[in-house]
Amino acid sequence: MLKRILCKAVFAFVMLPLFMVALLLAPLFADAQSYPSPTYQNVTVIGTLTAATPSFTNPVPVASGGTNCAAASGTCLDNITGFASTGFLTRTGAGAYAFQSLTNGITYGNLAQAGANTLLGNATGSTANVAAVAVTGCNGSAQALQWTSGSGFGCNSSIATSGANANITSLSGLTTALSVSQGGTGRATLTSHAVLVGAGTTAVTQVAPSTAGQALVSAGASSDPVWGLPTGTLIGVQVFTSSGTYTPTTGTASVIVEVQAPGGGGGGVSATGAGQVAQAQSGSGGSYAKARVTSGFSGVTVTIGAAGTGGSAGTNAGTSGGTTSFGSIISCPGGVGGAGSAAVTPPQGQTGAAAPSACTITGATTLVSIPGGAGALGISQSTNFVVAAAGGVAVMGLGSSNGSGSGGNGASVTQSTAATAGSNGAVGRVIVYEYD
Amino acid sequence: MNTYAIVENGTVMNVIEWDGIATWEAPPNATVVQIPDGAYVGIGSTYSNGAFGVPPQPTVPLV
Repeated sequence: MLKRILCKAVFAFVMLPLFMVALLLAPLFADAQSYPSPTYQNVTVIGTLTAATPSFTNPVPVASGGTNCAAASGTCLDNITGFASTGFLTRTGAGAYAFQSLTNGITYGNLAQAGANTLLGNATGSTANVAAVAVTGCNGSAQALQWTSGSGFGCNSSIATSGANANITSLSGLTTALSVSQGGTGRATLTSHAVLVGAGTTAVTQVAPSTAGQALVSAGASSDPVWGLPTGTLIGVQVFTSSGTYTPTTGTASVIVEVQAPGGGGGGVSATGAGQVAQAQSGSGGSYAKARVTSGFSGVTVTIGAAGTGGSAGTNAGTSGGTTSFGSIISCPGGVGGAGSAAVTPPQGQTGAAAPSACTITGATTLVSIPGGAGALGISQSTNFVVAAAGGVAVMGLGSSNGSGSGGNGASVTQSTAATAGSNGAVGRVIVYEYD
Repeated sequence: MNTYAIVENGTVMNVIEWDGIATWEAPPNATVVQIPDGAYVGIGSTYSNGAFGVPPQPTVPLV
């Protein structure tokens, strides 16, 4: 009884609905017959749906095994996968995918391996696919890689390198001056005509140009030198041939003074008769001194003695040269005048005037002091051969009225000659050399 | 250039060159007298009443 009841229930709840569906689908499966396309509100397929060329008015949802797209496109794939990100799609495991950023998305390890000593690039000189570009070995001294358009890398073996090298031939574009420790000056500009002075490792200093003619003078070990005149430089020379006053040139610290007294005049002679000659004394040279004076020289009186005059015609002596002096520091006597002479009978000899005394020097360092030379000897060998007594020499004169300080010749005449005057001595002078 | 005699106590002590213009200080107690051109005056000449005497006349024996 129970089995009968169960059979009735199965029939009522299973078989009856299947029967009803079969009745509904019967037209679809009618053998070799064409039917108008039926339209169903809803169709539920239980089992396998088999169709020769299925066509659906609406896209089949993904959840129903469709693509949820009406036409082939990337959207269909998006629908299936549900991907919404952008980037490289990477399968990270079974049924697992992930997107990697387009930037830095592919790790180096995922790139294809490259040949040894190559770089990815384009060395063709024009647009082209990336390819392996060979890189030559270039690690020697003075070597560096050099890229040439269209051909790629090469090796330049003549470049400047660190350390000692001989490849740098010029520098340009430096924005900072080379320091002293680098062999430079540490200065970007230098004053025209200035002199550079070292300052240790800091930038060199400059001593600006100064007055023409000056020299750099040391200011000691702790100061820069300065322009000026070194101590002992000759800064002026004053020459006196007439009496006056010595006014030093500004900056004079010491002087060297030369004093040359004038020569004495030669004597005159009287007239001679037959068989007579006359021969007067010559004047001697003036004395000379040279001394260095370091103080008390400013404003001193300079006296220039007058040259001795020759004795007038007749037995007249020449006059002595005047005393010549530089203040009370140096005083030099002039040459002595020669004596006149009356007519005599030859042969005779005649001496020159005696040498004057030496100069006196006070408050100065004597460098040279030489008395004037005595007048030379004159000789009358016969009535017609008479050698005059020559004036004495001096430091600044060669005798016979030469230069400065020489004595004048004594007059000398042969027989039957009128009275004759002697020669004047040479002038005196004072020369002052000024040193700073 | 002028020539001047430096006279002290009536005797010419020195004869100098001086232009008469430049500053020059004579020795103390000396009189400065210009020597006329061509005058025969030398150290040792006398000077009295504006007149110079002749300079000393040494006598030197002939040899």
